[in-house]
Formats: sequence, C-alpha cells, structure tokens
Amino acid sequence: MSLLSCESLHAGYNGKTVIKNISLSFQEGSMVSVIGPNGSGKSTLLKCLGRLIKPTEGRVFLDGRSISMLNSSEIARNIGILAQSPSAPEDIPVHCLAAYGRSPYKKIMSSFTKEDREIVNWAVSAAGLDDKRHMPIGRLSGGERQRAWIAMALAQQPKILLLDEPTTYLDIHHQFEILELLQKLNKNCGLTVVMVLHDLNLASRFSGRMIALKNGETALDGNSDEVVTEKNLYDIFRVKSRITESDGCRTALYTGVA
Amino acid sequence: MKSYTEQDNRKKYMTGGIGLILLTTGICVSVAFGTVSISLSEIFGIFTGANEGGMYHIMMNIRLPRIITGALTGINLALSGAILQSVLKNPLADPGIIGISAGAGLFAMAVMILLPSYTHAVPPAAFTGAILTSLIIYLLAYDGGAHPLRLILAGVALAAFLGAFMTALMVFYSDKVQGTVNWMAGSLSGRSWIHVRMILPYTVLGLFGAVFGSKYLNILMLGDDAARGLGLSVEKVKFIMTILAALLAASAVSVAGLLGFVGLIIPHITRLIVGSDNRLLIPFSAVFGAITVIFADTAARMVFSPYELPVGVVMAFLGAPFFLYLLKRRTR
Ligand SMILES: Nc1ncnc2c1ncn2[C@@H]1O[C@H](COP(=O)(O)OP(=O)(O)OP(=O)(O)O)[C@@H](O)[C@H]1O
Ligand SMILES: [Mg+2]
Repeated sequence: MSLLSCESLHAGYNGKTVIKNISLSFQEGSMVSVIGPNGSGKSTLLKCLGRLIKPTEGRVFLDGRSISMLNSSEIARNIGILAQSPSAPEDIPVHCLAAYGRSPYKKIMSSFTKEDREIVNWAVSAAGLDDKRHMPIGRLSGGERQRAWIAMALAQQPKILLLDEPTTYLDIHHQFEILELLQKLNKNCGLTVVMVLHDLNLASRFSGRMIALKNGETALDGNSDEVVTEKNLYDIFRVKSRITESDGCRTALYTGVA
Repeated sequence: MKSYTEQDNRKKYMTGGIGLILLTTGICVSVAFGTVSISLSEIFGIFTGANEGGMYHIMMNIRLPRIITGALTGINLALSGAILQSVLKNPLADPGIIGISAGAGLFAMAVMILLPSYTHAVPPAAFTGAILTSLIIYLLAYDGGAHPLRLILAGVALAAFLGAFMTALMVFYSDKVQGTVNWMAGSLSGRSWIHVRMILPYTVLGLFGAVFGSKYLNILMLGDDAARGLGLSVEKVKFIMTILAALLAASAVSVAGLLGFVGLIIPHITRLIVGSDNRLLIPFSAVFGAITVIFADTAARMVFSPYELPVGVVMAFLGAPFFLYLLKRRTR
C-alpha cells in the first residue's frame, strides 16, 4: 500500500479550477520531483496533498485513510510541508524554529520533554546547523534559513516531507547541499520526499521518479529516462534542447525557445 | 518550549524589574500629585490607618480608583493591540485603527446620548458594537480565508464609516454632548470604583486568554501555511483571538472612551525590547500598558493644573509622532 495517494483530485481558488483529475500514489521511501511550467498547479497539488487547502473533488489518502477524516495533529505527525517561501519573525533562533516542529505532539498544556529536546537537537544537526543553533533566522543566509525550516519539518518526525521549491534563490552549492541533505534523509531514515523543483537536471539527478504537470493535469509520470526527453521538454516547457548523458545522469542543454 | 533567547535571560529580568519599579513609581507619583499634593508620609499614614481625614478620602475614593481604572485600561488596550498585531501579522494593527474601538464607541455613545439614564448599559452596548464590528470586518475581508491585509483595510474603512456616525450623533444631539467630548478623546476624569469593577473581570479574562493563547499566536506568526502544516486550526485560533481582542478593547472603551495609540505603540515598543515571542510580549505589554496610561494620566492632570486634559490628548501627543516614526522606519 502506498504511503500517500490521491484520487481524481480537483482543486482551485475562488471557484476557478486549477488542478484537474490528478491521481497519484507515492510509495514509502521514494524520492519524487514535481516539475512543470509556472502556474501549472504544482504548488496547488502540494498544498492539497498536505491538506493546506481542501480539494473541490477527489480525496487524499494517508496510509489508506482519507485525510479529511483524520485530525490535523495526526496528519502533522505524518506529513511535513514546507511552503514556497515561508517567513517568520526574524528574531527566532534556529533551535526555537525547529522546536515548533514538536507542536503536533503536544497537548494543550503539556510541556517540552527531554525527548522533545533531543529530537530538536537531532533535527538541527541533521540540517547541518549545529553551529548556528542559537542564531536568529534573520541573520542566516538564504540557504541556511531554508535548512532551518527543514529542521522544523524534521522535528515533526514526519514519514513524508512535501517541499515546494526548496532550492529557489539558492546558489548551485546550496542547492546541492539541500538536495544532498534530503537524499541522505531519504536513504538513511527512509523519509519519503515529494518536492517541486524547477531545475530539471537537479530533479533528474536526485529523484527516481518525476511527475510533470501541465495546465493542472499530469502530463508525464516516470523515471528521468522517460521524462527528460527532447520531445517532452518541447511539449511541456516549449523549449528546444539537447539531452546528453554523463555521470549516469540525463542532462538537458537548452538551445532556445520553441 | 523555551522562549526564544535563553542567553538573554538577564535582559528579561532587568526589563521586568524596571517595569515593576516604573509601575510602583507611577502609582506613587500619581497618588501624590494633583490639585492637592499628598506627601509620602501621608500616603504611608493612610495605608497604616493612622490618617483618615480628607487626604484619606482623596486618595482612596478619587485618585486610587482612577489610577487603577487607568492601569486596567492600559493593560486591556495593550493586550488587545498585541493580540491583533500577531493575528494580523502587522505591527501597525491596533483596535483603534481597525475599527473595533469605533464600533464599541458608536454603540456606547448611542446609549449615552439616546438613553442617558441607562449608564449601566454602556459596557454591554460597547461589547455588542465591538463584536459586531469584528464580525463585519471578517465578513468584508473573508474570501476563502481572512487575509490579514484585507482585514486591516476593511477595518480602516469601517473605522472611518463608524467615526462619521459618531460625528453625526454629536451634531444632531449637540445639546447632550457635554460628557461625550471628553469621552471621544479618551478620558479617565472622575473614574471611580464602579469603573474598576466594570473593567476588572475583562482584564482577568484577557490576561488568562492572552497568556494561554500566546503559544498559538507564536505558531500563527510562522505564516498560515506553516501553522496549518503543524496541525493548528488557523481560522479558529484567529477568530477566537480576535474576539478576545475585541472584548478587551470594548471594556477599555466602556470605561475610558476612545483612548488611542496605547494598543499600537505599547506592544511595538515592547517587541523592540523583549522580541517577538508572544509568551514574553503579552505579559510585558500588559505591564508597560499600565505604566504608560498611569503616567500619561498623571501628566494630563498636572500639565495645565488646575485644568485637566483628557488622557487621550496626552497619548495622541506622544503616540502620533511615534506612529509616524514607525511608518517611516517601515517604509525605509
Ligand atoms: N491563493 C491563490 N488564489 C487564487 N489563485 C491562485 C492562488 N494560488 C495560485 N493561484 C492560481 O493557480 C494557478 C496555479 O498556481 P500554482 O501556484 O499551483 O502554480 P505553480 O505550478 O506552483 O507555479 P510556480 O512555478 O510559479 O510556483 C495559477 O494560475 C495561479 O494564478
Ligand atoms: Mg509554486
């Protein structure tokens, strides 16, 4: 049985449908990229999967149970979600931001336990921010801030992590840093990762499965060999490209717009 | 959960200590000075029961209830502002600016002018006005979720609208507006133990509610999506906290009229000192709110003694320039 799945999902804003009839399922331990042009509905899909918005039709299942039947703390203990550009007060230190990840485990009056603290410490280290743990997030670089948010999501100890463009605004070094971190968590901890990425080359390098959306519908779903082809890139992004293969990875070299 | 800045504990204790010293000083100064001065030894005498003459009357029945009413008003307005600023994620939010006070004011004023013999109906009327206004703001701004900026803009428009109603009432009933002019500006003149009893339950409720809610306000400040992702019922928390803020503002309006700027500047200054963690921001705002109103009211009584200014005038003199300074800082 798949960990997270959706069935003929429709969703939109103010009565306007944005994603149409999407059915997907994500296996435990997989690492999946969602790609597609601006406005194709990637964020909307992710928000539906993470129940930040309600679908107008169709259902999302977590471990075979419809998430509309689950209480929101229980969902939060299973699904971590990072929105496209999160913001928080600048003076929150890294470990305090990470500590918010424990809130789905807290009853109204219960306090922070030693175990909670250990999990937060682990999350901060896993995100590679050990030496910055007391630093306010306003004083971090863009990449470090992104990792601080990832630390928060990790402290949630979710089985599945949904990330919307976790590498935007980052230089190539920091992009790799984030993706290698996610890959490590995926390999070592069995964390299921579903992420929206714009860089197809990174997506094909770091994910076993790629899903392409176009106009709110699933256009392609497969491994990078199947998805990253000259014809597909032309159909989906309207770009001309040449695909090369090096280092076991398919790499697109773009040569112009169609 | 720990508060943001463990290593800054000393700063917090110092801020708290200074706050308490200021509060005590404020109360003493405010008790001592006025048209009649009361010396420290006389105050001491009153407390020990040695002095029971006219000074006793002035202190126990005139100054003290007024000071306490002022302090509670300051607490309620500062809490209301702190809550609204976190819920709306906007440091310029305050019950006055987003129209809640105007709603409370219009209803209270209607009672004062149209039903002058029903003074005890003023607080319930103010609550009705404040809650109705909050609901209308929500309705106007709701669009599959209450977006903070839309809430504020709807509130500002509604505040202007309700203000016009108040002006109209004052024009049509110009023979009955004597008391209301002071009240429109925000005044603590002649406040007695009745007013203390009127506002105290709301201060207690508000303090409990705000302290209890502070950890949810913290999560809310991570943004709606992140908060929902952490399992928080975002709309529910926002709604409950807004109603609490409306109750606090309405109770302040009932006893002190349209006293502005306290809810705006106090949480803001407090945030500059203790940071944005609501678990500190809320209690410290309450303390500083009390201090500010006590000092402002003492100044209002003293500056043109024996004439008295409404405390709201003093707050506006201090608050308006500070508000402009905030705007300038934010747009820079
Ligand atoms: N909050 C919103 N309210 C109204 N319409 C929205 C909202 N968010 C997105 N949309 C609309 O939904 C469509 C899909 O948006 P979505 O954010 O899902 O695209 P995306 O694939 O994530 O794009 P991008 O690559 O630019 O992030 C767009 O046409 C957008 O205008
Ligand atoms: Mg997007």
